[in-house]
Amino acid sequence: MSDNFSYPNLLVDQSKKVTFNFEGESFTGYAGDNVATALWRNNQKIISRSFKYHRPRGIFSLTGHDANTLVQLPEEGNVPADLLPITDGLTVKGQHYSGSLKNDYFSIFGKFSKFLPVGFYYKAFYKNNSWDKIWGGFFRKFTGLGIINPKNEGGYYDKKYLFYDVVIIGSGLAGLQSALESAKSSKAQVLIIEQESCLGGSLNFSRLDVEGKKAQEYRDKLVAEVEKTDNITIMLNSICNAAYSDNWLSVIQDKRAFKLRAKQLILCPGNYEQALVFHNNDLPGVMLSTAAQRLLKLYGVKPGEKAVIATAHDDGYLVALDLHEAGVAVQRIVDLRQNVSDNSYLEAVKKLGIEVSQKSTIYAANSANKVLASVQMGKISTTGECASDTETIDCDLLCLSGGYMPAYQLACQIGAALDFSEEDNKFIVKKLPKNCYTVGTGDGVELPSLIENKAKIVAHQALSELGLAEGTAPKPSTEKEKINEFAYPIFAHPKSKEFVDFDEDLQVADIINAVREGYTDIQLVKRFSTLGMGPSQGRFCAFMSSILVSNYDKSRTIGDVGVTTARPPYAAEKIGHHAGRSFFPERHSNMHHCHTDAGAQFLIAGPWMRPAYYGAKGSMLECVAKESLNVHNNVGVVDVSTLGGLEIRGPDAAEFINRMYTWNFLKQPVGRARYALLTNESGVVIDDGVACRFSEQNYYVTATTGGVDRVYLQFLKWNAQWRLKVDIANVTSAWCGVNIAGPNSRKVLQKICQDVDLSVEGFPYMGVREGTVAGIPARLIRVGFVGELGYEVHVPQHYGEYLWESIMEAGKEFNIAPFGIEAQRLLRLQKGHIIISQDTDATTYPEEVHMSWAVGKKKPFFVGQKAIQIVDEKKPVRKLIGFEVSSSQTVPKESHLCFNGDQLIGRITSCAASAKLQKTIGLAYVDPDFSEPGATLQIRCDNKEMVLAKVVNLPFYDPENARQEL
Amino acid sequence: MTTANQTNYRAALYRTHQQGGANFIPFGEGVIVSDYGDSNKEKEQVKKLSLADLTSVDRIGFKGADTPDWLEKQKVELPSQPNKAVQLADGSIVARLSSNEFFVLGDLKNQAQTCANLRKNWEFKEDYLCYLLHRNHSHTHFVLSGEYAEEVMPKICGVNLKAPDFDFLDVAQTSVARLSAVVVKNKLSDGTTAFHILFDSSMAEYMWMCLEDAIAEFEGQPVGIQALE
Repeated sequence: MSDNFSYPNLLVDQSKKVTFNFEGESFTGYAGDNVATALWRNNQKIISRSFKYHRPRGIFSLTGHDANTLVQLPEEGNVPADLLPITDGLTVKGQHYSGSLKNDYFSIFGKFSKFLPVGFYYKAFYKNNSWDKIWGGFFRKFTGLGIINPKNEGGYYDKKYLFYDVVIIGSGLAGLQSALESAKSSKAQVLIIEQESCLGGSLNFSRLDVEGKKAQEYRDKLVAEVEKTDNITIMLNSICNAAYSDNWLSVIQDKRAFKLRAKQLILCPGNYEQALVFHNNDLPGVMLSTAAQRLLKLYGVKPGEKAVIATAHDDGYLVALDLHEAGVAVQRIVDLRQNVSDNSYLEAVKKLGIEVSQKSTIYAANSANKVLASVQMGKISTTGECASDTETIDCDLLCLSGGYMPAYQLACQIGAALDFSEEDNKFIVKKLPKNCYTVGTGDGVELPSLIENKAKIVAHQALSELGLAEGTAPKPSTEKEKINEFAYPIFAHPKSKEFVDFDEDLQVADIINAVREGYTDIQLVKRFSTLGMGPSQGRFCAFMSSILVSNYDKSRTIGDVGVTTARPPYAAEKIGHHAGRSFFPERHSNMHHCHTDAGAQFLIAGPWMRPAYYGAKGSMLECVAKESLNVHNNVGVVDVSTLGGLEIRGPDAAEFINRMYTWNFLKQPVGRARYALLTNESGVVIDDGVACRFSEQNYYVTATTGGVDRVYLQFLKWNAQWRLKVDIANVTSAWCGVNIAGPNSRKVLQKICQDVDLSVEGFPYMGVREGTVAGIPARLIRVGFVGELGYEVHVPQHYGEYLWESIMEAGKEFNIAPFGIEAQRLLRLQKGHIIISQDTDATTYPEEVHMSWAVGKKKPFFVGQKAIQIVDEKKPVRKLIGFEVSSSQTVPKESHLCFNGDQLIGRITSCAASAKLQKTIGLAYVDPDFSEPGATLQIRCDNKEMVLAKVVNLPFYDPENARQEL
Repeated sequence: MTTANQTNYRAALYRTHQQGGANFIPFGEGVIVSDYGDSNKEKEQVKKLSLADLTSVDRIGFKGADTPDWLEKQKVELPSQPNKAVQLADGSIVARLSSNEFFVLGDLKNQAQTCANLRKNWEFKEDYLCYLLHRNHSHTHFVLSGEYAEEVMPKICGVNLKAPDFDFLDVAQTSVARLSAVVVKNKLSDGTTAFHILFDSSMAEYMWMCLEDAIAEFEGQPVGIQALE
């Protein structure tokens, strides 16, 4: 470390050295340093390279809010060096260069900037022409910033909700005072959000008076009081990244995203110091005055040896005093204004022998070894112009104090407006929504006594809104704010490189040319030029560009031009913050582990994990064949717990079901199930199931696995209008179920169910019964979804595992085996049964899928009836047909397209090879002209192979339904 | 020694608890985790932050326009308004989810008879709008307790469940760890804050994993029912 400078500071412990690596070189800093301050301490002033022209860049604001100090970590790019604490062994690189950070080959582009005018990319790549092919890859190499490491495994991010009565953003004078005033009611829970690692805001580094005592006195007093106040919570290193209606805030702290609800919100975010615009205003060594103060007072780093201060504000004089006290030789104060607002400041610096040049500006900065070496100063001749006889001043530090812009972003996000006050020469936040206030420099107020007064007024009002205020409201102060003389801060140069937006390397001419091209509105200037689109999101260029456009187009004032919209997020945040913890809700039936034990491979069905097949991974076809044949020849069991279950109970239960579903249910006998097809108001098929009538006023309706929640909502919605006397309960998770299917299913069930007559006569097809199975209370439904004799057995959820074990034990002598969803899909396909959402889509009408039989045409009403009647009168545009493909051909897949020659005539919805039928079968939507049995289709498979298919009658298997009615 | 799968009624997580070294005791229709090896240590843990699976604790639900009438006839004290709960003398908790919907939780000692009596006395009557809901199957019951419980809930729930906005015997029907859930705030016998979290039983494993992760920040641990009594 070349630095032996020592200065009282807030954050650095100079007794603890820390060694890290930057650009392959070892550097030593102190505990508390960040990478930027540690490098500066070591006289390493080039930290990164700029976006477009690859210009060397160093510390600019030292807030983490500009792009000048973005660095590359092994796992992550675009990390602000001024927010990255140094740790032993840390490895950091500059980014966005070719060669070395100091000698970047791509910096040659700076010499060709005339050939890269504003809107270059739009113009060059607007159309898909050869430019893109020739130059696209080339430009991509030298533009862009950090590098993403695709192998990065990410980290642990999470989210948390917070709720506070009063939330204060910022902990400067305004924030601390507001917090203390708000906390006067012990019932008010107050939260301070501070983006830095300590309370105090600008009190920590700025100077409020000539003596240099006031800021620290404020800070020491207020911080001590806040820290001992029980009902104030402090969140440091936290940034409020978004503010939405009703004070709904997004706050990022390390790897956690907070969603914060504030009953009362007091915005005290302070302001952003602005730069000046002149040739080479981006050289390392040129920085904001506040950055120099931060280096000095937060980190104890000497910003430079010889300094020039260019200012359009009184604060520049106070910075000069700070630097002088720290041993920096202040060569000159260059004041753009004719007059100082507070003459005592001028006297103070003159007393120290610091030379002041008024009505003067920096015309250009000069470099040696790529960092600042001197400046050319000249008298301002007219707006934006400088006299030709400039004076050269040697310096290694140039502090810019171009005035301030309020940190308006959060206020505007929440609904406030930003207005330019011609009287005060500054932008001011106005029209804040209810329960939201702004105090402090961000409010356009700079005088501490006025800030204190406003804080008291606002806090009292906030407490009043909460019903917690005591006493009368404080009166507004009559004291007047100092008016800072406006000085035009932009000085174009024949050699350009006077940057308005450092992030995007936008120069004065770029902004002017954008306006010349017709993009007169500042929002269009932004879009055409990318102004304010970089990491700093316009914090340091919005004001300058507004001034520039206004000066070019004299018909508009700065207020007329305004600034670009500030949208969330306020600062960079990571995808991890949005993702939070990496958990994904997953539903398991009570039998889930039985499937795991049986070697199931699972598939995701909606939120459920369902067994796809039982066997080794990759053996699906063999397993499906085996499992399906066992159902045909013997007995199989499948977990159907995921099916939706809805209980409709009450005097109007039958009427309700009759209105909801397409078929007739009013006369459905007790003890019977009936197929239930659900359509929406447009007549589109949205679900199906069976409605089981257990008593006159008690229905148990099943719905599809993925559709039950939607069905439940539809039920609730409709009955909110109908007001029928029914209770609707989604009991999906209350019940667990299996389907025992196959010619031996009755024999298996008879072993464990003695209180239900399972005979053909006693329990016919589509009958429903209640009884006990394996000693468990159960509902039994005789169904035929898979086309064989079968029983669905539904038991209360937590008996599921025991039921499964009991059935498997009872079925041992019949060689029972589980079958998965894939086998079930094949079995139902053989029967021509559709699966909603697979064989239907968002426009499927009952007629298209041969379900007209399930539509009660004589019913007075059901949801979708009118639409179905209209559609039925028209010629259908497609039909779902069954087709078969010989087993010697490739098995087509779902969504493969059907052709007649070159004519596209349809698409496949289901397709599988049937071991039972020894051929491939499927369902497809086709043009009605090709839907008659015997018609042929050509199906284009994955490899463009064309497979010949024949349209056949449905079902493919057991058309007499003899098997399911055994 | 009680084994976890000796009963017909099996809560979804018994394998997870077995892997965590749980000891089980018979409880209600099934079994419940008694402890994970050291119930005294777990008692201390409960005061700080703990998670317990109370799925085997009895519970039942009723809804329908005639439900308040029927429950009152059963001499069950009812909360005066929705999203409030009352604790009965036998330790059961009656949560009112809406004007006509109630969720009854059994006690931690398995001695309260309210749920069992209601189940026994209820019958499906035509034209009488009071319907039983199998909450002991549709819902899983976890309890999060300890001084840090109020710090954990905001990690998984967007509703402010801290006092005074959310007091003891307040009820929230909300989203917890992205699942619909009923949350009842109560005190354990020693006054420790406890959140009863009731949610879809098919999500038990997911929710347990989420909560274990959420409590890790505050060194929370799973505990058995002995520690809660």
